[in-house]
Amino acid sequence: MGDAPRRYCSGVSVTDIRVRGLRKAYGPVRAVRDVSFDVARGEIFGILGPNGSGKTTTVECLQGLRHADAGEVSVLGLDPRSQVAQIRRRIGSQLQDAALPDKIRVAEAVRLFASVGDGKVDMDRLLADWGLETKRNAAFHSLSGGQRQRLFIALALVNRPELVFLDEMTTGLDPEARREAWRLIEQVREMGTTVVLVTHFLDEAERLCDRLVVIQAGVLSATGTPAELVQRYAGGITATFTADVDEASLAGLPGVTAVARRGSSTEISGEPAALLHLGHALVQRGVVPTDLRVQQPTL
Amino acid sequence: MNPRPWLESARVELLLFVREPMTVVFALVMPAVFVLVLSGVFGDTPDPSGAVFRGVGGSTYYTPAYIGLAAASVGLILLPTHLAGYRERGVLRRLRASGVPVTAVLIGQVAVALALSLAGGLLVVAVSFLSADPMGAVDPWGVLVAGTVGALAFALLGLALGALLPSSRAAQGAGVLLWFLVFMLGGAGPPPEVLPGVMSDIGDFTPLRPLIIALQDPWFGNGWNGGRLAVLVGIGAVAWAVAAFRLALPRTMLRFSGWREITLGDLGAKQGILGGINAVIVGNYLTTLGRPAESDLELLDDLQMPIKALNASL
Repeated sequence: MGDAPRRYCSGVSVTDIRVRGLRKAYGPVRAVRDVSFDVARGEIFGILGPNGSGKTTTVECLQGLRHADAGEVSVLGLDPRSQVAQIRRRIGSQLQDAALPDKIRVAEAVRLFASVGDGKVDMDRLLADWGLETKRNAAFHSLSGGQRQRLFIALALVNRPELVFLDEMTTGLDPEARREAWRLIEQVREMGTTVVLVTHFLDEAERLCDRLVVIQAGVLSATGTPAELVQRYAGGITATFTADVDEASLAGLPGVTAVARRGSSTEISGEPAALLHLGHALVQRGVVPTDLRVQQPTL
Repeated sequence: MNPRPWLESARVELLLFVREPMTVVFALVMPAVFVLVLSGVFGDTPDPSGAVFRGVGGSTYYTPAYIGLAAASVGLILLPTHLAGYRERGVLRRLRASGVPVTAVLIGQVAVALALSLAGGLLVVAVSFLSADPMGAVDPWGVLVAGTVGALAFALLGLALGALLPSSRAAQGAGVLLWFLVFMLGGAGPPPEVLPGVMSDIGDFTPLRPLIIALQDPWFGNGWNGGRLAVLVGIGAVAWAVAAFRLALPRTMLRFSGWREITLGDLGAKQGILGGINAVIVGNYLTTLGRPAESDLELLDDLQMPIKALNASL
């Protein structure tokens, strides 16, 4: 699970979200099998994983958009099952696959979402921050995919929420827009807002998240800071080829951690640098396999 | 309670409807065109034996009837397509996630429907008087009340259709089909007296028939028709319950563990109706026949109750 780090000089860390034993199935499909984690106030918390791993279902349960089958969930001290209206007043939400009425204009949408809070919004600043100042009176259906995405993020932040959920925030954005979005989310965190970021982009998770969990097939498969996870899991390679060569001699190469024989194939595991030594060693012996494959394990 | 999302939703819904000119024109202009043609065809001389058009001239018969058709057009054609489209594309989910009450959107749509029905009704009356010479309304306020109750009933019916049908295409198809059905069988096309027996009987059960009668009675000087008004209120209440069930319930099924009933006409039960999804006892209409109009307006208040209950759950 991992303990939430302390963030304030006073030494007191506040937990904004507590999840224990979350379970959700859609008929026979068990989307979330057993998920538990904490999110501390003011951090950017990442939920990483491949598509279909249960990340979106998890955050939908946190936002009260779905009812979990089992487990305890507490968001800002409230229960999303029974106190969802109160929660929604204090959180911001950017959903995957969201839509607005086709003919609604950008400024109208901002005003509508702002009306849930105190209704005060610095329209010019908000639109400028998210690159939509020229689209103030544009209809939703006329916006490009990237503009719609930026609008949805802006709408999630319009009421200056304490906690914001972002689900695949940079999907469909060009690299420049992605970096802008990252910069703005960091600004949001500087203001003290807690951010839960669901993503399948490793670079985004690495850049933004203070801590993250990895969900695969509905369960947590890793948890920690990005640095810890990179050290623990990334960097290993596996090279496979077919050749008549003595495995023992390869085992001693720098960076090689294991050599195995599977049928007629030889499999070498180790650090990325080992690949070069392997190639050099094979060529030196006059062995040039044509079916050399290199795999890099992912999270 | 924060009134702002409710006001903003109503404003947004009005703007969105106005930005769909083709459908708005269809719903508003069609009834006026029909009344123009039919007044020309039938004139305004009453049948001497009083066997058709309820004893008045054709033009006098059709003018209030087409106010009803304007309300039916807005409710059956404009609303279902719009709401089903929202559901289909995930707009309601997006709004709900940010705390914009779904009920606010629905009320906004009903408010727009009422305004458009009023505009359509006025257009019908204007075209009719400009092109022919029907008898003036004996009790215009009675006509207005009946028109409002009917417009509300059809708007809620439209919401129920939009909540039930899976796509905006299906909703549009169903809406247009129902429009033709109520038009032909309800008395806005051939007068009921000339319809074959079976069709006339079926027509009695379509929602436009009671509205036409409720509009015509004050127009012809027969007073208000409490029974038909009550039927319309009942239709509206059932439709609202269906829409509320379909739209608000899916994720909060466990909360609505007790089924409570709106008993129409049982004014004392109003206070007990809170926090539940309600079924309507239709049978009580039988006891409300002939009630004065004031109690009908109080019954309209009953329709506010489910709205508060929904708001608490969202």
